[in-house]
Amino acid sequence: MQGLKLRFAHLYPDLMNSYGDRGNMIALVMRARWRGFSVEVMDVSAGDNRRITGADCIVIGGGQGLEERMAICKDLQQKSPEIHYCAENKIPILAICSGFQLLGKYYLTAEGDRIPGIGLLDIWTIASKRRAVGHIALRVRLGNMNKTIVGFENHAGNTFLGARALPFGKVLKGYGNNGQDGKEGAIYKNVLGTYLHGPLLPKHPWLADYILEKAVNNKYPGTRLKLLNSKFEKMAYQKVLKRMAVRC
Amino acid sequence: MFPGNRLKVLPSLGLGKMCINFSRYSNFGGSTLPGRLAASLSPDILSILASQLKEGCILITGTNGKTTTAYLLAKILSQAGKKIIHNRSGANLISGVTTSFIAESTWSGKINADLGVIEVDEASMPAVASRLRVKAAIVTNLFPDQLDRFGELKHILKIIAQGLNKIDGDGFLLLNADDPLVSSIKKNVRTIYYGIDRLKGASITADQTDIKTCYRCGKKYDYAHIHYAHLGIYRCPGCGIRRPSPQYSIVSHFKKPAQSAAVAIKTPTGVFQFSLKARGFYNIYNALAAISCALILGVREEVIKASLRQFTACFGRMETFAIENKMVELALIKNPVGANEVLRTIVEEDGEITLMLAVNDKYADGTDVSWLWDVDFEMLAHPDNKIKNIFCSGTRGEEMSLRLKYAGIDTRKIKYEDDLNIIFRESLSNTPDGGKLPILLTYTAMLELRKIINKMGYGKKFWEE
Repeated sequence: MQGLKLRFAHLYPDLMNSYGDRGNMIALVMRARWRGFSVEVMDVSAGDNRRITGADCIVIGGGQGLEERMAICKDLQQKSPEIHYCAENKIPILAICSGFQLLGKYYLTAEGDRIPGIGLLDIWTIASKRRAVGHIALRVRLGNMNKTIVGFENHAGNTFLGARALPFGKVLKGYGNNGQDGKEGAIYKNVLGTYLHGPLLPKHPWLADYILEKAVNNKYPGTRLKLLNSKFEKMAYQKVLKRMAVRC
Repeated sequence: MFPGNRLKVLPSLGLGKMCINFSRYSNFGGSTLPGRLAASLSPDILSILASQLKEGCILITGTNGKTTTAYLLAKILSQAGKKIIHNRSGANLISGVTTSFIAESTWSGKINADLGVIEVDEASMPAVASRLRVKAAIVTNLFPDQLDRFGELKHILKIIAQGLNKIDGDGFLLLNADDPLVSSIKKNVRTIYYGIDRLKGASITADQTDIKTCYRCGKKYDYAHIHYAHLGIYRCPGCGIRRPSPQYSIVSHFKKPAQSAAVAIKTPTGVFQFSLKARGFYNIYNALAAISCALILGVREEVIKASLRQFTACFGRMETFAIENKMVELALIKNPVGANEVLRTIVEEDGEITLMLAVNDKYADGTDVSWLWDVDFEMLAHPDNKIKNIFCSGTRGEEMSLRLKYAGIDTRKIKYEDDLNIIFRESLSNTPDGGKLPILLTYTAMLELRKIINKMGYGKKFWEE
C-alpha cells in the first residue's frame, strides 16, 4: 500500500472535541499509516471555506455548550451541500454526540428554540432535563459482523429516528438515543452518528478498519487492508467489558 | 459563640479526633472519613469550629492549581506570623475540610488560629462557603476536568459563583484575568485581577483540546497571546468582552539554572522581584495568585521572599523523593491541560527518559478516562525525546498503554502490569543510578503509591509536612 494517499477532513477540531473525541481521528490516521498509506488531515474549522469534497473520510466530534452549537450550526449550513454530496458518494462520515445531532433535522432546546441541522440523517433531538452520563454497551451488526461495543455517553438530548435512518446498535447497558426505544446512534449509507464518546475507534479496531476500508475502496477499489496486531486494543476493550459486567 | 453550642458537638468531635489518630496510627491517611463521621452526628460541627477563627477564611478554588496556591499562601501567611488552618492533604470536599478543622481543634473544641486557608473543590463551593466566614476567595482557572461528575464548564462557573456570594462585605475576590470564564465572574465585592503579560520567549501553544469560544456569544476569541490552553490575552470580536487589565501581573520571567526562575510582578505600588524554585509554567500562575493575595493582605515583601525560598512543589504536584539514589518525581494528572504541562517539563530534560504512568478510574479520579486521548502524549514519540521505557499500571492501565501505542510509541517500550507495587519496583530498577523517574498518576493511584513509598521507608506522610 506504499504510495497510496488518503485525505481525512476533521471538522471543527478546535470547537467540537470533548471527552477524547479526537482519539477517533488518531485511530484512523495511525491505522492507515501503519499500513503504509500516506495520510493528510485537513482541519476545517468555522469560517474555513476550503472544499471538503476531496476528503476520503470526514470526522466530526462532540461539542460543549449551546453557544458553540449555534456558531457551528450556522457554519455547517454553508458546508451542508458538500457534506450531502460526500455522503451520497459513500464517503464515510463519523459524527459524535452534538456532531451527530447536527447532522439530523433539528435540535429543540429547553427554551423551545429550534436549531436546524443539515438533515443528512433522518433524526431529531429534543433537549432533556436529565443528563445521560455513564458507561454504555451496544450490540452492533455491521456487514457480516455482530459485535459488542463499549463507550461513555454524556448528553442531555433525546434523539429519535425517522424511517430513513437505521440505528447503529441496540443498547445492552446505558441510556442510548432517548432511554426509551433501546436504540443507539443512526446510520445512513456510510454515515455513522453516535453518542459514544470514549473515544469509539481505538478500543474497536475492527470498526476503525471498517470505516477505513470504505474510505480506501472508494478511492482504490479492491484494496484489502492488511491485518494489524491488536493486543493492546483487546486488553483495553476487555477491561471495560469487565468493568461493565457485559458479556462479549 | 456560646460555649454551650461548642459543648453540643464535643462527642462527635472526640469521635472524629479518635478516628484521625487511629487512621494515622494504622498508616492509612484518613483525610475525609473522620470529618464525614463527625458531621453525620453534628451537621453544624464545621461552622461551629470555623466561627472561632479570628479573621475568617480564604477559599481557593478552580480546576488546576488549588493545592499549590493554597499551600504557598499558607506558608507565606505562617511566615508572616499568622496561625493558619489549612487542608493541606488536598482533601477539598466538605468532609475533608471538616477533618482539617477537627484535627486542628483541641479535645474541648477550641480552635487556636487566626485564619483558614482552604482549598475547595469547585462543586463543593456553596456547601463549604455557607459554613465559613469568607474573608477572601481566589479562583485560579476553569478547564474541562472530570465532566462526567461536574457537567459543563458554565454550570461549574454558576456553582462557584453561588459560593462566592458568601464573601464578607469588606473582603475581596481575586480572579485570574487570563481565563475568560473566571474573569467573567461578577460579584458585589472588591474584585482584583492577576495575570501574566506577554512574555518574551514564552511558547505559544494552541492546545486543540480546550474551549476558546466566547462564553457570551459563541464567537471565537481573538488572542494576542496564549500562555497555555485558553489562558492568555483575549478579546471577543463578537461582543467586545476583553481581558480585564490585572492589578498584579507578571512582567518578566527568566529561567535560571537549577530549575529556578527570576520573576517580576507589577503591583499597584511598584515592581516585586523574586526568584522561584518550581517547575512548570502552571506553578508560575500558582505563585502569582498566592503572592498577590498575600500582598493584598498587607504581608511585607521580605516575608514573601523568605517563604518562597523554601517552596518546593507540594503534595504530588511534582514532588520528589530520593529512593535508592534515584530521584522519583510524582505528578498528579487529572485533565489534559495539566497533564500536557507536566509532560512538557519532562521532555525538557536531556538524556533518556524512563517514565511510569498509573491511571485509575475510581470516583475521585473521574470514572471516564477519555481525557487521556486529549493529552498530547505524541510529544513523547518525538525523535528528540529518547524514551527508554514507559511503565503503565492502574485500574485503567490498559487504556493508558493503548493511548501510548496510538501516540506512536514503539509498543516494545510499553510495559503494562496490573500490580502497582510490582510496576513501581520494575520502573525503579530500570532507572539508572543517579537518574530520574517521573511518575504521572491520577488521585487515588497517587494515594496508593504514597503508601507503597512510605512502606519502603521513604517519604513523609502528608500530615507531617
